[in-house]
Amino acid sequence: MMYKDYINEIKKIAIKSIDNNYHVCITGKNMSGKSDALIAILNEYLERNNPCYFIDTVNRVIFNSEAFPNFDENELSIYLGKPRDILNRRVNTKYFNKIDVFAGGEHNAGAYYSFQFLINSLEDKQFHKLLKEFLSDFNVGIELISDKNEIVFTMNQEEVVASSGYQALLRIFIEIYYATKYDVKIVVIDEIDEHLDNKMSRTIINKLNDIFPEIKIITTVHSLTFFEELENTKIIVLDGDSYSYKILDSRDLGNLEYINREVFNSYIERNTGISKMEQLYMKVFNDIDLTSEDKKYLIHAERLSQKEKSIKDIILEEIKLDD
Amino acid sequence: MTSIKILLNFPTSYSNVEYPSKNVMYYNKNKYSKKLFTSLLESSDYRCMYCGIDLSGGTRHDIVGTFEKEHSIEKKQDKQEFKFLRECKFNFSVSCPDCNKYKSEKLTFLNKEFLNIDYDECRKKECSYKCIEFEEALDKYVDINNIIIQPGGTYETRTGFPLKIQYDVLEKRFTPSTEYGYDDDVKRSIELHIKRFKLNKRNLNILDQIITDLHNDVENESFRKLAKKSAINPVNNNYKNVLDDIFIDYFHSLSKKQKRMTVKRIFAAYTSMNK
Repeated sequence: MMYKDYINEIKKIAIKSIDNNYHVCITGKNMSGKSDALIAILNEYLERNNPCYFIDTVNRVIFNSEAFPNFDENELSIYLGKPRDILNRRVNTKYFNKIDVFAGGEHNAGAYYSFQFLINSLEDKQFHKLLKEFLSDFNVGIELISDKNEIVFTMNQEEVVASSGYQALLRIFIEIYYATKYDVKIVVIDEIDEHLDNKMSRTIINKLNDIFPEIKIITTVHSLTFFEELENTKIIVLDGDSYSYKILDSRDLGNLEYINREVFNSYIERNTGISKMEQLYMKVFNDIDLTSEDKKYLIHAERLSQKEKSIKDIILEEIKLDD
Repeated sequence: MTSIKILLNFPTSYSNVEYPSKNVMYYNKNKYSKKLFTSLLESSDYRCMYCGIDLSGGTRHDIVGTFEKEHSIEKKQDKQEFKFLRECKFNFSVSCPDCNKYKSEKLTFLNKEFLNIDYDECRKKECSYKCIEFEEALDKYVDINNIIIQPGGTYETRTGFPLKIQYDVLEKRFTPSTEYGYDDDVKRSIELHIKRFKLNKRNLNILDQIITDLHNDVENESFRKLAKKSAINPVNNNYKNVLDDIFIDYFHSLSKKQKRMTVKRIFAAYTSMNK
């Protein structure tokens, strides 16, 4: 398989899984093609004109700066534009994972614009309530000092300087909240676990799910603990070396050791990984279409073990039923 | 080569046992022991606490005599019987005769320092919790014998993780749980427990009937409504092991297509095992 076909296939699987109401998590070693897969997915959504939003890895910082004036909500919305404007800026290879272009014009000032968005929105009761709920499990809090146009960040009820993890949480929340105001239903996040500690990684997807139940998330991930409490998620494990992948359902992942083996190790040692026939079984089991190459393998594969033969029969029967 | 597995969590502790506060002779038949053993049986849903097999004999009306009063710490230590071990309410679980037998074989006995509890003194007072002396004896006993003791379960000393067992449906094997990333020593300890109770050698009637029934349903293109053998609403089916109930929960979480594929896959695996 060529690299282009490999990325194309990942894209199709991810989009199909979203269509079937799952979240999608793409994982694998560095250089296994995760970011390329995300870009391919985003471009497909752009082509389809499907409301979608994208948060890349440089958008995890938030701070105030005296170098900028204060904006009211209307002024801010002019700088930010609509989710599609932000998406268009972020998929541009000039900026992708390099420059924070939350706002147009002033590049790399997303940290400040997001701070302004936070200040403006904290007066909105609904926003405040959801944010409090989002932060509640992380022992951190937030208060607006409206007279001074300042925000106090707290941890265990004591004022703190917002850590990188705290900032990352805030940015993700703010951006998704902003996107939902425009009826976006799909949010793509590159490396959702960046800057997050184990507890945050483990909890964040379920928290987002509770607070924004209408949103489906496609994300890439490096942290093992992220997988611990996943629900309703398809996991695509990439092996960039051989341009192969496998798909797991969050229901199959009961525990850390299993995740470690299945998600992080098995593709490294090909001989201990699951067989191609089992990969196809999991695809069909999870309602993912077989590619023409899969079908070719299914029909022409030779020297199968008894177990693989029986799995093959099950797959063929299911395909016949689908047809 | 590893496979995608279907792993079910086998129960390895039962937390909702109600203990009478009085300290009486619980090994004898009396109203207190009846209350205690009814509570133990209800907490395990009338299953053997060590192998999961049904203890009810098919109905809930004839439970007396179909289970054994099993002592967590064997009442005889090196040929000498200790009254507190025989009678203390916290030293009982419920099991099938086979498990009771396997559990008392090849034991390492406790040192005398752990056996100084005078049950006649215990009888003068009431207690709702295990005393420290009994806890220490139990911990030591578990440690030297590699048993996941019932009904409270066993916890790893270093991390506090519970020792748990999973059942690999396709392989028909009990294995140390993969949930907690146990180190090799802990895994070995759990494997010794599995070996002691011969869980992988005995025919414990796990899923055989359910899979046969469901495989018939695949042909009929409609799955029957699976009923668990609950203690509250007893059902006369042949799903004898607690793992049948656990599988039913798992099965209910699948789509129709996934159910079909799962049943076919398990059926094929079991058929090839029988060849």
